[in-house]
Amino acid sequence: MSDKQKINLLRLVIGATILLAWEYGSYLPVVGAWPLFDPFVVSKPTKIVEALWALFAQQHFSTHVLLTLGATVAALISGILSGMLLAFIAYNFPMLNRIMRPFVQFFNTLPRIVIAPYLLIALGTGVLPRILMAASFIFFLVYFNALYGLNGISQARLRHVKMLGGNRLSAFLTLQIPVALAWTIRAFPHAVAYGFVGTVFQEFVGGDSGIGSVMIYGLNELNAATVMATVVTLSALGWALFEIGSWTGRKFTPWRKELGA
Amino acid sequence: MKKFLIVAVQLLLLLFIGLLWQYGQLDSQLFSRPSTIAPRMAELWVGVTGLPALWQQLIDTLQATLGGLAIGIGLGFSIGVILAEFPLVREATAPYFNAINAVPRVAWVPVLTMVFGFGLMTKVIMSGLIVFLVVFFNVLDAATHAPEHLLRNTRMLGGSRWDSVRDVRIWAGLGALMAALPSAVALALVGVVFAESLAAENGLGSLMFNAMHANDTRDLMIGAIMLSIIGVVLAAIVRLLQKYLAMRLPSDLRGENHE
Repeated sequence: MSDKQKINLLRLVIGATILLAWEYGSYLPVVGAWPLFDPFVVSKPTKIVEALWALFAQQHFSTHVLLTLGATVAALISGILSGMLLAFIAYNFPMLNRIMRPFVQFFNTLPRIVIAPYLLIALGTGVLPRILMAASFIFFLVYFNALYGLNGISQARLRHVKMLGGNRLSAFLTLQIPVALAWTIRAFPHAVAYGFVGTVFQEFVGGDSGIGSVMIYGLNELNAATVMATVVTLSALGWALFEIGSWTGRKFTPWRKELGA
Repeated sequence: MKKFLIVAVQLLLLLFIGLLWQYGQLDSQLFSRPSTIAPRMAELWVGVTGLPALWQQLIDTLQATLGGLAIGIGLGFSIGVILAEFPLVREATAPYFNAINAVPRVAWVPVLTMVFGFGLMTKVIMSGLIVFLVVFFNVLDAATHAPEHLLRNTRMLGGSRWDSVRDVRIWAGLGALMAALPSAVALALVGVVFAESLAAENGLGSLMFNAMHANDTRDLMIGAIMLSIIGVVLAAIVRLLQKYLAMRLPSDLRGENHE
């Protein structure tokens, strides 16, 4: 048996064990009494599939999914654009960068979720506070990554641009933009993950729609199957967005490898 | 001179922000003025009826954060280093770790609340889980791609698997751990506050979210300030630790952050 076959077999065995333990764990002697196996708490795979089916059969659930997805995508776009823009500004105006650095670092170390209640009080329960919350996570990820990449542009390359008769604008277009893009792509997986975290958290705290609100509804009903079904939906969304985003990113920035980003 | 100028401008900015906050046109309903926050803070510090004292809440949150960090770093580091040595197990378990990683972090809160109930346990597990994921993936990557020549040398000298874990992979993992530490610390605090926002009766997160439901912006601001102070202090400690350890690791093992 080749290594590849062994790995696939092991994967199947592990997956089947998890699913079986999840479904029938409560019938085990002694350990079956643990809350980890309690179907009331963790539900069962078959029940989760049923709950998923029931949720998607309702018309408004797809609206919730679209709202969460839409808010995250909007946050990704605005967070990435603003993060890159400010990274360009910080790189091109070093004096300004040095003055602002402690302030930026303060906001970065500040646990970003403390602004959730403010967003709720200031902007209500709609979609806008969710976008802002998610964008606040994405912005810093992109900003620090892009700035790190920009600071790593070698002096030799800058001299090449000058030698070939380029001015500051051509250095910006031919050096800074590709480098910043490559490093932004590197931050993309985390940006997607935390974009969803921001959106869903704001929906938790006070949202009248979105997957997060459905999840909280399930929790308040102590309906584990609904909670798990929303978790599964969210994971699938996150995974799909991540794959689409990183594929596009890789496709359109073939110079990434060379930069080591 | 230049440095002096920068610090001066920074101080001026700070002063300007403070003055704007106290006397500016900001909505005082939303951003309580410093003059109303300070007395309330002193009051909360010793405790008002119905709320635990502020210092106690501070300790609760800090305790959960440190607990989560300890669990997350301990498990993430050891599992990461060990899996790096066993490629077969690593490949077989990879999709499951990726699946856990794909679940948005906040989605764990309701699940953990149902399993562990309201209290310290949920907070510690929540932040431990978040820290684990950050540390695990960073350490696994670095320890798997540990310098090949060092691994070959160990094997050539007749070293066992344990020897290559002890002498090479742990150190490669340590570099990655150091690089991941700032985000781990920040996320540990975030995890605790996630859990407290839903599932706790004490801690700064619950202070904030209770204040939010009561529309009390003073308590909200106090909670936010306290959390920021914890975040900034922890970040500063990590930076010191990084500086201290960076000089003691061989240069080809110093990790780079994969965030």
